[in-house]
Amino acid sequence: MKPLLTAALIFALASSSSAQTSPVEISIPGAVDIDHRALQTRALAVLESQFGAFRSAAADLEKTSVLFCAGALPRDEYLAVFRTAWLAWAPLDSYQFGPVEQSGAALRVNFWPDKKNFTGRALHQLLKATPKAQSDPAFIARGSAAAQGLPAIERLLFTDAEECPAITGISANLSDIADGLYTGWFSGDGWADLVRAAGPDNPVYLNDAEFTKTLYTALHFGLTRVGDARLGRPLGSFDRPFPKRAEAWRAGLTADIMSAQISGVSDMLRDGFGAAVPSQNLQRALDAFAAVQDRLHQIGAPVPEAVIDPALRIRVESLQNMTLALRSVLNRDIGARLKVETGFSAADGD
Amino acid sequence: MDRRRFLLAAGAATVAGPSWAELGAPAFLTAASRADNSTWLVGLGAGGEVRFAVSIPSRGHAAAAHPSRSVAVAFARRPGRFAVVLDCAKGREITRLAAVEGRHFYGHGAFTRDGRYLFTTENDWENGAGVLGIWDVENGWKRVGEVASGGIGPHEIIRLPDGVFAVANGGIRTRPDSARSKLNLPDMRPNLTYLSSDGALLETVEPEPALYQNSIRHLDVDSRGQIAIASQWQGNPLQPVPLVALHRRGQALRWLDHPQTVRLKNYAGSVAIAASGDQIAVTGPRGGRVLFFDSGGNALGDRAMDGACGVAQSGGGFAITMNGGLTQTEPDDPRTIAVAGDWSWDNHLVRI
Repeated sequence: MKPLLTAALIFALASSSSAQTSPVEISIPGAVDIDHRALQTRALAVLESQFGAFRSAAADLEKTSVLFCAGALPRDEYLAVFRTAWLAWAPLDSYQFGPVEQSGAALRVNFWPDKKNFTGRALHQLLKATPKAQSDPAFIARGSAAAQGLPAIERLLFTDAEECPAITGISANLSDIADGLYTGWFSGDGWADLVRAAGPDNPVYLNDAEFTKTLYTALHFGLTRVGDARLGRPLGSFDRPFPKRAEAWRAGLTADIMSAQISGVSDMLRDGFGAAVPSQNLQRALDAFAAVQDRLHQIGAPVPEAVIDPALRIRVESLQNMTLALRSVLNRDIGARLKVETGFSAADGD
Repeated sequence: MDRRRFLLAAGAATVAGPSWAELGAPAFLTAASRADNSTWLVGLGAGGEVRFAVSIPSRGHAAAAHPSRSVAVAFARRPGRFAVVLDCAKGREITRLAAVEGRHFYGHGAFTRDGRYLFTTENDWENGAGVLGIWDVENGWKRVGEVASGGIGPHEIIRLPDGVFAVANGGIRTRPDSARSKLNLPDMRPNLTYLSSDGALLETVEPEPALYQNSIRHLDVDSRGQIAIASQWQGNPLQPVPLVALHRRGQALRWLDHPQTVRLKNYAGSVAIAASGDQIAVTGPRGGRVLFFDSGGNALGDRAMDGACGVAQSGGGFAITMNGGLTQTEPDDPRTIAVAGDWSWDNHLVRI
């Protein structure tokens, strides 16, 4: 991914905002005591660690795919690396703005849900290509998004399809995407610099509070993704559950991915937002997140099996309710303090 | 219903009932919310007075006015799945449209010239395709079919003076399970598509390659058929790009320069052409700025206006919704009217 900004423009931006001088006005009553700049610095550190973890996990996957295809690595060891890569992606699914959006990464890394089997169809095409093409990340990157990501590798690993050398090409492209996301955020002229240069002349963030709000909305979105999509799709209805709509059901990672996404949200709350709210508010919110994690680990069966088992299904339903209720916890304990509850404005796009 | 059968049925009947002119109806419709997050459709008089407010289940977006009856349809905001058919004279709900399985509304629609059919922009998200739903006004507002919109992410649809439709295909792929995330920015392909009144694709025009990430979203048309386009730039946010274009059938898009384009922050919210056809207003809610152009596309000036977004033709100028009220840009009597009630207006002001 090309850097989004040039150093020269950033410099121009920063100097012109300071030339206009007046300190950033936050137009929300009662919000003046919130140090959005400090929150932003902490939040960017969390993002850097989360995007960095995915970059490093994807690089590992690229390397081990080559070893695995050369017969130099046992399958279970390769699967562990694959699992780590997927769990490193999970927290990033919440941040669908900035570089993730700019590079189309959400679908390229994780083409899901896939009701129409685009992944199967795209892989069918890919496997007709020469082995050389299949192992070429540039060739993969030019093809369908559905054959570029983690679900494509999963499909190759857990069906009769010929997994090698396609997984080497797909994982090398994935590593390129992961590197591009990290660079897009944190290179010298990346999105983080745009965030830090918030001000009247900034094309995205008019003030520091706007980034707080964007990030807060992203955490809400992450919880909605877990509750509505990751749990809601396999749950279907009591009469009609859809176990095979569970994410990563073939690899058995459904619950682990959800747990990793929820952890990503609570990490950002604790380390990014935490110091900006009273400690009892933060603690109450973190306790609620921990309770959801406990429930998630106590379902007693893999999610695809639990949704069709009348005795266990109720646990998944209650987990879904608790997960979606975390959004209210967030609003009460964090959003209301920061005056960033998800609201309504003509400026939020359409 | 396929397109051919729809064509046979079109022309069949027109709608009876009280006309707009007979009623002391509101001049404008807009979606709005209040501080408690409740969501509403609001009918505003020409002077900004609230004529009615109808509660709706979630956030609304734009509305389509029936060409002859005092009926309008207000659409849920993407990815909403309802539309409310309103008797605008009484401010009462007549019926409600529900998106069909596998489709959601994008928030805009337009009636055929005879008022018999309503076309709605919709998302076929599993296939990543844009469609126009076709609803039969005379047959219980039943959805009788759909046609391809000519691109991904159809947003505003308008009817031209000759009855042809123009559709702004924004080019952006979204899915309801990803909320409002834009999923295909690196390879998005926005366009402006013309379709006949029975849904046949007539013409498509795209931005040139350097502007392929300039999402064409909102439209208005003058009496001579020239279309004004407002777009939203999805590429590098620091790259200065035009956000307003003009188009006539058979020609290329003509992007317009304005010295204050940068004030829109890459996001034009809505566009309207004055009754005379000689002035165009483009709103920028993110930058709190409105840009004006003449019909030849020359910059005419701009105005700072907090939260300016909905814009509609009004008298000799425009009515523009903004934070706290409504601004009338009537050349002889420009004024800003405070509207009581702590409303937050949504993106569009629809003249009825």
